[in-house]
Amino acid sequence: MSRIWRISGSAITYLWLLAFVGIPFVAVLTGALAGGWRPFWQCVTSQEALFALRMTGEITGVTLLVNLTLGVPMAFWIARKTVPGWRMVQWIVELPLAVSPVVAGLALIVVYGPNALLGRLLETVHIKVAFAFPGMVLATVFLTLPFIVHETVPAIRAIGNTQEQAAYVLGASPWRTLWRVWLPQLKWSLLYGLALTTARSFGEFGAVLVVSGSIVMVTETATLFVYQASVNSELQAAYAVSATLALASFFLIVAMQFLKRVGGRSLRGH
Amino acid sequence: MRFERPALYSLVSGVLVFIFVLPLGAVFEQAFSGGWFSFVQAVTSPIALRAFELTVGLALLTAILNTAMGLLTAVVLERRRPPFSIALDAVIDLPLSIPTAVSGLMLVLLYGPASPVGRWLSQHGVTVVYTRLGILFALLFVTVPYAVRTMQPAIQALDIRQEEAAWILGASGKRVWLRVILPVLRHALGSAFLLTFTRAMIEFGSVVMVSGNKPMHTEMAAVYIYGLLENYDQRGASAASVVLMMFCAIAFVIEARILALLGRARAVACTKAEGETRYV
Repeated sequence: MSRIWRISGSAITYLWLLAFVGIPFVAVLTGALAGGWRPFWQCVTSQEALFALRMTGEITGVTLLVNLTLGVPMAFWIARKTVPGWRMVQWIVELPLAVSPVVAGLALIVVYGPNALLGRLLETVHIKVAFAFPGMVLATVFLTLPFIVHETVPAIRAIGNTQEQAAYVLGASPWRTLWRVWLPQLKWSLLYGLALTTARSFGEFGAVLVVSGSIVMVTETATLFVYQASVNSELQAAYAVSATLALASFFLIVAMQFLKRVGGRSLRGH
Repeated sequence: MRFERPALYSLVSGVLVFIFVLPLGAVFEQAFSGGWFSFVQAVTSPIALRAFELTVGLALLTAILNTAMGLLTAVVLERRRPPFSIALDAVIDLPLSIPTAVSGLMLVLLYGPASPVGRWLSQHGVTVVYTRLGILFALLFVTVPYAVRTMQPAIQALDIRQEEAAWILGASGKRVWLRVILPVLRHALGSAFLLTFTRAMIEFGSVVMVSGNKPMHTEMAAVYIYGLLENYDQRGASAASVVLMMFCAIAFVIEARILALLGRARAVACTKAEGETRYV
């Protein structure tokens, strides 16, 4: 009796995940290649699609840099609890989990839009934020900053500061301590956080849609291209770019599984 | 210590103010810029009310289904180690890394009238695409990893000796589950439920692709906000955003209370365990 229960439990799990995750994933790949390789290739290498894919790549790259430089100090701030304000920072980092991407985009437009105070101020020094590249990066940072902080805070707490103090007593400079003591120990958490950030930032859609205005060949990212193409019923193009994105995320998943297995012990609870 | 320099901290907090605090504050300011009355009027229009109702209802349904399936999946992964468990693990993470718009399109492609699956379903009177069922499918897809990953550490932390004791004392499988395992997991179940619930409420990309966005019928709150923005109604969009954020804030406050309770329970368990070791 209990044997039947066990087997059916595993079977239900497989069926559930297949129906809701596995089969749709395979469907988009087969759908994109339904007409053969040539139309697929033509769609992906069309000028608009290439531009959108490059835009996504650029935004992801800049976001990763910004998140590293912001996220690591914030993680230390929260983990150490010695400087006042860490609780506020922790709250702010939790925020994006409760804010819809559309709302995040709206919030940035309200402040940096052409009719808003800050937006007008920046316009006078010829910096355009809304409906331009900086705004799209801001929107992506808004939604992806938690990942690095979430991954590194527990690691910093687990490592403690005895080694840092030893390095300091031996006369190492702060930079040297950061490079030789902290980064080697934090590398797995940081890499996993970066992988999550990459996944989310090339898949970001709602916030970027609102902030960028989705102008063709100017502020159109790959996900916006997919949306526009499907709205315009250019399904072949939408499927082709979708399949490219899906493949990229598949490789990212493989990389994340690898990270989990290699750096497993230092990663928290994954 | 050495990195904790005032300059660095003020720089970071300055950036945080410009990215998070100012914009979100401005949304609140914008929402109430016409006074309380117009705020209430904006969020109680029939279309808005229907959108909120639909969002909360579907998010609740998603949370119930995926918490149950998350529990089952986590148990299967942690206890049974079935064949292909590495692949299973990867599949669970897949929705985290696939762009949400793409996942919506996947569902349209799979369950739409052009595919064999969609045709078979429509012959049996089920339409998925551009209906509430389609939204539910999209939300289920998107929230799978959150439910499973929240349950997994809790199941790893289960003390198998308690179950063994129950078995030896002659409890049936059902009884062991109801009286031994589930009570320990209740906090994890609570957080998994609330996490999937909030995630489902704020979801946009997949829903906008799959729902067809008919007002009063398949329009979710996030899509409704986007619609208002497209019509240059920033104030209405801000008001609706404030309500949506309030829903999530309530869920998070409840979750924080659950975590506080969990912390207390854990502290009690620890002192008990210490007592035991001292006896031994």
